[in-house]
Amino acid sequence: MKDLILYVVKALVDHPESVEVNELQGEKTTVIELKVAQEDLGKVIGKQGRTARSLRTILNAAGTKLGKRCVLEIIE
Amino acid sequence: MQRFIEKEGKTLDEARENALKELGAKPEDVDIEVLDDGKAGVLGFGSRSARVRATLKKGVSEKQGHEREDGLLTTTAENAGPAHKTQAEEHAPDLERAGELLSNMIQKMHMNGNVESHIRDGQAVLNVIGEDSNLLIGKKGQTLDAIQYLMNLMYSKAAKKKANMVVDVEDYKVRRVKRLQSIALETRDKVKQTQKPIAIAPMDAQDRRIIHVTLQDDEHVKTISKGEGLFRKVVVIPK
Repeated sequence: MKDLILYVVKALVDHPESVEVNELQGEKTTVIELKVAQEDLGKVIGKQGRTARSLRTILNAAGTKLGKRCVLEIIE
Repeated sequence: MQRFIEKEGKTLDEARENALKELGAKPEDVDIEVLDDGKAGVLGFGSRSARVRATLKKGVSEKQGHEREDGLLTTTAENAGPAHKTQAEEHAPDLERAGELLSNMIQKMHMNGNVESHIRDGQAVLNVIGEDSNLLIGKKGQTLDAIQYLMNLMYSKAAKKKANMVVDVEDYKVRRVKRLQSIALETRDKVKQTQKPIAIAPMDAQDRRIIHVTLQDDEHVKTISKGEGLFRKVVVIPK
């Protein structure tokens, strides 16, 4: 899960070295926290939040495959 | 990844010719596979164009010294080695690179799928084939749209130029367009018969567009969109 977000986000931002992803295992849901450089925040959110929404969509698909629920949180 | 192209034409011969022209190859250098032998239809309705898939035989390099559609002449012999890229390939998106991004992404989603790429009507298409096709498509193709969007973003970033490639899963998009076209034509026939307007179930803008385009030149019916937001639907009205 973490790998997926890390892979895609690193390919999208200007500062891949400052991308941080934390996985918090809950009882039913896994929360994935994403931190990027301040300048890259717009890039991972996208126009009208489209990039963020797409990231959540592929995360959900991957979660379905593994029988888990995943939530993506972008941290400022 | 095998390189092949798909071409359409009114007739099989025309489709075959188009394919050869695009590849700049001689008929004997190419394997032609007929995908759809087309249908003439009645009065232009229900007609389907013929489609062929042309694969360059091994050991034949692309566009050797043949005149391309844009009139430029590509050079021959001395730089036709395997590592050399023809002009066409430099302009076209790097399908191999894109395919790699896509298959890495799929793998990291814990899914299985092989990516094959081709050019269909001048558009780069990456088609994923594998057992997880349902999950990769998602509800109403949502997951597929997300994958396509992210893949193009990633590719554009890496190649430093805008990419507009189509990602498909087991030809889902091709099938969806065909299904919508047949819904449009069936509804048109009913409207023509009863002379009463019929509304098609609500659908999103892309799908509505396909219905409108399919029936835009029809002499018996016209189409309008009615309703708001999620409930917006196409109504077919007799003229």
